[in-house]
Amino acid sequence: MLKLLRNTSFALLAGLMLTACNETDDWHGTFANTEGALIVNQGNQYDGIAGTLGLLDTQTLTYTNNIFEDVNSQSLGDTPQNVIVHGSKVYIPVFGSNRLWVLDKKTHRILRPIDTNQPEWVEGYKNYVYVANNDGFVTRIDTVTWAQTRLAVGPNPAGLTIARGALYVTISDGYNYTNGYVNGKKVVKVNLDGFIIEKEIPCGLNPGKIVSNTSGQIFLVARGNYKSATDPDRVPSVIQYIDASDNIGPSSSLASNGFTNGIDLTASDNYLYVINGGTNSDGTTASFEYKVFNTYGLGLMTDSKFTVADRPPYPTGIFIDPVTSLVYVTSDPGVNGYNQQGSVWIFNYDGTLIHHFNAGIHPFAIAFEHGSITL
Amino acid sequence: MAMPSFLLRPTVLLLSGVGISLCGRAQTPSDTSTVLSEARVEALHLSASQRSAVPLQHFDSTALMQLGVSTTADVVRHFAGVNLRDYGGAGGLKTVSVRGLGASHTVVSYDGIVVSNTQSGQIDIGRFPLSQLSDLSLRTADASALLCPVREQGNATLSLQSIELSRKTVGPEGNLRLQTGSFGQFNPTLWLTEHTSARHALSLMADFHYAKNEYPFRFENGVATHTEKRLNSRLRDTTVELNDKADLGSYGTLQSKFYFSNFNRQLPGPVIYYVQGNHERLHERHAFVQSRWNVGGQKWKAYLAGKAAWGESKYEDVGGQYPGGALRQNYRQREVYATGGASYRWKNWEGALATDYTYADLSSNLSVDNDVARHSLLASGSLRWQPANFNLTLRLLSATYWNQSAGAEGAQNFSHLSPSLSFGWTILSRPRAHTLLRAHYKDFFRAPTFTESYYYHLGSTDLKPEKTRQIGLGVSQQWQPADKWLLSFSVDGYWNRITDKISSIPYNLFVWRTVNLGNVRAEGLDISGRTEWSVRSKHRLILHANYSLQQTRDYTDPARATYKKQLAYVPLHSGAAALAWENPWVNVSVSLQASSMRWATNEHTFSTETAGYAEWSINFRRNLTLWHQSLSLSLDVQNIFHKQYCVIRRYPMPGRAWKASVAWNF
Repeated sequence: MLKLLRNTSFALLAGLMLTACNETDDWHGTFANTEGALIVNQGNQYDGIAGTLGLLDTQTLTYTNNIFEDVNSQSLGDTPQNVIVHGSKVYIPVFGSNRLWVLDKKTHRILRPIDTNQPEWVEGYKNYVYVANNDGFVTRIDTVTWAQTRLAVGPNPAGLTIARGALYVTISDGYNYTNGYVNGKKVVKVNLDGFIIEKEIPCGLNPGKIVSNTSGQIFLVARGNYKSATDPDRVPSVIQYIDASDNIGPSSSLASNGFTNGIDLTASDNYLYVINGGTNSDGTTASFEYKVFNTYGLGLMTDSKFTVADRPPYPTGIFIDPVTSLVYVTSDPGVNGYNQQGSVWIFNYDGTLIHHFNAGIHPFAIAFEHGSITL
Repeated sequence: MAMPSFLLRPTVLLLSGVGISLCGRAQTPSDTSTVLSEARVEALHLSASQRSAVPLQHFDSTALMQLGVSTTADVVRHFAGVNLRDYGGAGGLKTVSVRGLGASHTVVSYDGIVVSNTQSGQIDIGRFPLSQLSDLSLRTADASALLCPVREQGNATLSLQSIELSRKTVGPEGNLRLQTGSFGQFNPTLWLTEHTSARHALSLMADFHYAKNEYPFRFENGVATHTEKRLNSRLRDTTVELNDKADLGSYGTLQSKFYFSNFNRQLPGPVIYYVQGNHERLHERHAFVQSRWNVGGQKWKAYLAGKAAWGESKYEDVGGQYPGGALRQNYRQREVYATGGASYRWKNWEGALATDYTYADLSSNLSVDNDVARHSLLASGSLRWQPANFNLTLRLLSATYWNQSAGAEGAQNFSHLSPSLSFGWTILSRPRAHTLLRAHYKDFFRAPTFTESYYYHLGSTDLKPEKTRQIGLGVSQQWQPADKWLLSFSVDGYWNRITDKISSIPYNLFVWRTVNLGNVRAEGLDISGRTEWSVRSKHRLILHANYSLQQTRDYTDPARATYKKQLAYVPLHSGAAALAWENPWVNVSVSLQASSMRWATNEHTFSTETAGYAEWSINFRRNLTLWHQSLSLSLDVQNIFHKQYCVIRRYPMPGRAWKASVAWNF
């Protein structure tokens, strides 16, 4: 049964990975494919559990939980936040360890450790990678000379995305919760030519993750103030977007369409995937809902299969492979399972479950290693 | 006719507070015409531990010296059934859990009155230097004394007794002690007592403790092992106490204390991969004044006690991520406490009533926190039936809590009734042997702390009390196989249940909440033993050992990976032992503390396994007289085999270290 499932999954994956390079029916040529998925397992610094970097071989569906230490004979460090593949290298910001790892994409060997203060997120663009530092800066790192330049962007930058040739940085002011996150509530747009702040875009309270697609659409989570649902002062976690004129949405019509609520998101050129929910008031169960929107009109896809019962027990992140359009969801094993072995769930673009497997402790972020095949 | 005179000369075989054998021998009078035959009276002196119907472990000042330890935490490790959470080093937090119940269930009392921390509910026993203590005891399940403050009738009480003002001669006496050691330790202590009369004494105790505390440790990273230093670990503690003890004759005794401490500590935090140092600091100040009046005779007893306490904690972490470049969280807590009670004995019956009232409040500098307060009223009624060789104790405790929060909803008010039952049956009572069988049942609870109820985001005002049920059965034996050999041991098994366990869980991806979630079962065995052997004149060997089996498992949800698994940081096997050789030259004590492996989380995976350890230490001490002055010298070598280990992961314990002290008694 397991073998059948695996072969079926592999066949489906392989089929989905074959994304045509042109619009003809000629399937001969060179095609992008996904060779692996790098999975950041955050561990738990409070419990003394270091993070790990796992690798899913998407060809064989085999998973290696600690590829970083296996290859480099040393620990990834404490509280890794994110992973990206940029060019021939892999970049991993490790918040607690004040470090950005630079790895070789093929071998996963360490090319260079870069000391940087409390890195929250990393994005790459051309010959640079950009790191959001929790102490109020974005650090630009030249991937050839490794020279660093710091730009003060605002308190507690939380997320980065590069869209339309600019860097967008969410400023949460999250450590200033006693004063209502007063210096946050904005997205800073950074001009990448001069590495200067171009403008500030007001947004919802406590913005965090921000994503974009190749069409230049930008979506973000404004996490609100975390108060319980019964608290009259609660500001809920909502999804917002930034339009081509750098104006923040949604419009009131979209809000009435149930667009706004969400705690995490990911976007492809065609679809926006949103997760909303959390632990129920009984403390023992959790409820999550998945919503899929088309990115053209931001209309809700009512035929999404994400609503069926066999879902991740406690999602911690949602990611999309831009080549295969497969949706990956990282998950804890359940309520209060933050320091336990989690899992990764792989869905078709419409929410059909394809595969799931056990990962490390508190899986949190995914990046995809792409290559090409010639048929 | 001259009456025959004789002198009964008792020969006291002092057995360090555990056993005394009284022997008498008739003397041949110089003018006698009648020779009395020899009279020999033998009886074991039973310690309170051997007589108690609930498990009670006790070290007096002599036993403390024989253990050869130098910190309060080290003494606590020699109690069976204890799980000490030690975050390492002289300044690291040290809390005591007993029989799988969690540190918030353990009451710490200092000179007969409970020390409280309404903010976190846990007492750092590192606050109480061993040099200031003369007696430590741990009582599990219930109070052994029928009449005592209601707050001491909880699940477990660690009683700390400061140096007694016992001398009855008028005049001053004192002790000046200087201790120094590895990692920049410097610890002078002054203790001055003025006996203004045979019935009244005043004392002053002042203690200053400085330690740089930057001890080396080894840290494994993959295949490599690095030697690093605990940075940002300095502590600078000052404690001052004034004690007053008055014997009021038929009006009883009155004992009062003023206490002030000022703890200034850098916090090294957990060891983090690739990061050295930390910027956290904690500045705590505590002050209290307490007084206790005891009166009574054979039939009736009564007491009144009161306490007013104030505490301040200022936490600071410097970093660019915080508004203004630093996080500053300041908390102030105040408490007023009053207790009183009386007991009466009639034939084989004894009854006691006691009541406690406490007002506690907490305020902070954080705009998101409200000033919160709690009134609590506790009352207990106890009845003991104590015919020969048997005692049965029934107790009913009533607790009512009223919570207030300025400008917001307060935590739930609640009431709870807690019954308990214990019996002790002396099944063997011979001049050289004594065996006691004991059993208990107790239903108890703990109230949510202010942090659990109110801390921003984390706290929940809906919390119910965490409930416990305990059943225990044990046997305690003491016997004297030979004149110069005394043995005692106790074996106690227990079966504890915890429901509505208060736990903090993630509410969503970003924030946590505290809820009543979880059931825990704890079953275990506490074994402790002691033997003393007078090898020859002025040479004695004393061995004290304890072993704890603690199976403390999660029974919350069968669907979880943690179901029926041992809770984090509770070792299945742990124990300690100390062997002392007392001789005319230099007394030597060798001690061992050991623990089996533990898990860092309730889920047992390879990455959360925490290795067991065994730490050996040795202590040399000598009392001598120089220039008509009494001096006490002591040298400790702790962790003599330089074992590298952690009690809590990422908080390494020090390796080999020495400590030397000289005390001048005047």
